[in-house]
Amino acid sequence: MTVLTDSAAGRLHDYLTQVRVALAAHPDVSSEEVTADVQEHIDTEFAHVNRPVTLEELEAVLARLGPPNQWANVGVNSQAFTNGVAPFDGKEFLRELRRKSRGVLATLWRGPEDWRLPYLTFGLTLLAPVTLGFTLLLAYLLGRATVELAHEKGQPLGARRWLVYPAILIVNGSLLFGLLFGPALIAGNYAGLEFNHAIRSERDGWPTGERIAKTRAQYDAMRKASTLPMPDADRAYYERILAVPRQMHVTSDSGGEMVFAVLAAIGPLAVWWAILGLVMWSFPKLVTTIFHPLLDGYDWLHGLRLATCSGIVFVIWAGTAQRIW
Amino acid sequence: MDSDFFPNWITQMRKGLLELSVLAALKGNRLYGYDIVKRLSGVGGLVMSEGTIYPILSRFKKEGLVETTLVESTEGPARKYYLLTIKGQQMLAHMLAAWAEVRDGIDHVSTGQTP
Repeated sequence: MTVLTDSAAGRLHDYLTQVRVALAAHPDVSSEEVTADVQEHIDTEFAHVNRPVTLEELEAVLARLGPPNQWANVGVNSQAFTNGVAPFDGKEFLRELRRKSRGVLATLWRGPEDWRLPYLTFGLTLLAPVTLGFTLLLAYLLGRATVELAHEKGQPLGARRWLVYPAILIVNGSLLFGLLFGPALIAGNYAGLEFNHAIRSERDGWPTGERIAKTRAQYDAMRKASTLPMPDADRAYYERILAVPRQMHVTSDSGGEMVFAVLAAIGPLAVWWAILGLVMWSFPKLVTTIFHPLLDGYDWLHGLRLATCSGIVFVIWAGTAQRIW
Repeated sequence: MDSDFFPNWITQMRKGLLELSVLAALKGNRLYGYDIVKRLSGVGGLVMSEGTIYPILSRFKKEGLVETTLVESTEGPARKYYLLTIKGQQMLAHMLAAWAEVRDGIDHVSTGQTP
C-alpha cells in the first residue's frame, strides 16, 4: 500500500468517494471493484517510491485517470449520438432522470465532502427566509467548514464558492455592519427620540426660547439661594426644559431631528470605532478568524489606522459639540 | 456544420471503440488493470482519461465477458488479473468481425468501390 502525505491521503479519499458517487447510479458497474482497481493503479504508479507521496505527485496521476463523473458515460450504454444531438426517448429520459436523482442523493449522503457541504450550505441558505434565519446560521457554519476543508486539502474552492459564499457574506456582513454601525444607530436613534420629544413638548405649549432663558435665570437664582420652593414634579419639569440644547429651541422640523441625530451619533461612533480599532490592533488573529475568508487580507496596521482616525474625529467632534451646546 | 461536430464525433467514436480495444488487449493475455490501461494509453487518441478503463472492466465482469484472478506480486500486494472468458472471446470475435465489416465498408465507400 502506498504511503501518502496527509494532504495527499485526504485528496485520494475524496477522489475515491467521487468514484463511488459517480458510479452509484450505474448498477451495471461495481463501484467498489472500480475503487479497488483505482487504488491498485495508484499503488502500482508509486510502487518504487520509498517515501510518502506528495499531493502534487498524486494530482499528476489523478489527472491522468480523469474526473470520475465522466467515466460512467463511456461505452455502449452511453447516449446515442446522432449529429451531436440525442433523439428524445421518454423512457430513456425517465431512466436518466432517476439515475441523476440517485447521483444527487448519493452526493448528498455519501459525499464527497467537498461537494456535499456546499450543496447543503446552499440549500440551508435558500431555506433561511422560511425558517426566520435559523438555517442561515447552520448554513454559515457549514460554509465555514467547507472553506476550512478546502484549505486543509490545499484545494481552491472554485465553483463551490457560489454555493458557500452567500451564507458567509450575509452572516459576516451583518455582523461587521452591526459592529461598525450598531452603537451609532442606537445612539442616533435615542438622540432623535429625545429631540422629537422635546419638539413635541414645545408644540404642546411648553416654554421655548425666551421663556426658557427666563426659567433658567429664575432657576439659577433659586438654586443660589439654596431654596427650591416648588414640588419635585415641577423641579423635574424645569430641569428637563433647561437640559434641552439651545439648537432645539429654534428648530422644530424632522430635518432638524435628523441633523441632531447624525451630529449626536458622530461622537459615540468615533469612540466606538476607536475602541474597535484598538481591539483589532491588539488581536488581529481574532479578526481574521471571525471574518474568514472575507477579511483574510487584514493585518494589525488596519486596526491602528482605524483607532487613530477615529480618535482624531472624536477630538474634532468634541470641540465642535462644546461650541454648539 | 456545427464546429463541435468533429470533436463530438471523435469522442463518440473513441468511446465505442474503447470496449473493443479492452477486449482485444486481453486476447491471449492475462493482464492486470494497470497493464491494460498503459497498453491502451499508448494507442494515440484512444484513451482520453485512464480511469475510464476500470468501469468498462467492471461491466465486462458483470456481463461475464472477463474474469479475474488474484496473483501474488513480488512488488507489493496481490494483483487482480483480467482474462477473457469463453463468452468474452466469442464477443470479441463478433465485435472484430463487425468492426472489420464497417471499416471495409467505409473504405469501399470512400474509394468509390462497390462492396
